[in-house]
Amino acid sequence: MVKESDLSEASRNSFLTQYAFEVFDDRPWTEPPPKSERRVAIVSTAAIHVPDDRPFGFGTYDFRTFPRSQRQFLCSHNSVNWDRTGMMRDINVAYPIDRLEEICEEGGVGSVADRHYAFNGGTDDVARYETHARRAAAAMKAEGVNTVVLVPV
Amino acid sequence: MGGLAHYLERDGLATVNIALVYKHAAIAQPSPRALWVPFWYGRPLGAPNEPALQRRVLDATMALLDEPGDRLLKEFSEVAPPPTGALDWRPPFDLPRVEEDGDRKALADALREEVAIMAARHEEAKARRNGSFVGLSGLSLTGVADLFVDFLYAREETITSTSRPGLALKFGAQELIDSYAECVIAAGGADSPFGFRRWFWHETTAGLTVRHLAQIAKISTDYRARMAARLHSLLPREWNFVPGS
Repeated sequence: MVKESDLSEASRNSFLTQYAFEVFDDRPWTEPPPKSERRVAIVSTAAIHVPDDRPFGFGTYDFRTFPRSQRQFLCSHNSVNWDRTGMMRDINVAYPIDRLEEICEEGGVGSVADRHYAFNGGTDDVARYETHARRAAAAMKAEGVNTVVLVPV
Repeated sequence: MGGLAHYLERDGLATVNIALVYKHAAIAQPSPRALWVPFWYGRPLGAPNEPALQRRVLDATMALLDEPGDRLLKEFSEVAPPPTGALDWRPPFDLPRVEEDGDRKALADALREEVAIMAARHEEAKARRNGSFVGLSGLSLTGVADLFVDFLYAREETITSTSRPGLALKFGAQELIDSYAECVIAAGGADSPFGFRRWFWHETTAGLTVRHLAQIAKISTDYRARMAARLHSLLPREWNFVPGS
């Protein structure tokens, strides 16, 4: 529930020692399409989901998806370390769907995806996301998404 | 976050991500484009109900897609407006006083009394807010209180007899935290993540109860209960920390 700069020294250090950094052998890079051709999806790691969807459990690396119009969520993130009261006041502080819609209306991107995605952050084995991330990527590409904005909590 | 970006990029999607932990983004560099923001965890776009600030953050993030180069890590220099009344924050209603040193029966009685008050408030809050983050456990708030009293009394026996005890603890704790937060918001309480945290963990019986349960879970023989404690699903790492101390 704090800023990185407000953390105690012990906590700041634990962020570097407790969570394993995934060391990748490759450096993938995809050329972004021109602005007008971008179809954008948001990926959040806030573990938000539609209220009647399955909550995230422990050790789950899969994802939930929800329609562009969705504004009511439950949140089953692993951790209560971060502030959820901001999101309760305004979902856009963690899932900026209305800001993305504005950018699209002004021509800053070509279109907004019909569906958006959430994973359960706060886990400590990044490699276990890979299978699920690839499934999400396939679903995104199937609806023409070519650009993704990832938002942590 | 960066790991997910890495996998999506590998599958042919152009990604850009916001980063809250600078050293993660700077050391690991798993994603090709990232914007570090100096905001509270849980508030990557800066502040709630500040659409202009949120828009500047998202514009700065999206702009990285048009910059040449790989493993770009830019900093967003603007600081979010400080939440109102952070250090002297009070909720807009009073609750019975918490007795830190009371016995187990006193704590159980106080929890049931407090949660009954807050459950009634929460019904009003839900109606006023047109929605709620509460609903994970499948229990009413008073049902969560009853379950937590069982955990306080029977400890291991309750943990081993409860289906998925780790999730019961996690969802129950989160529902108490979230319902109290929604009551504060619905009653017009000022936005103060630090103030809310200090109040909930130090001045409510629900907070005191969850602090006890986190200790019980931490040493449980059940790995799921231990996991709930280890992953900070019950008690935040910084529950007792004062910024700047």
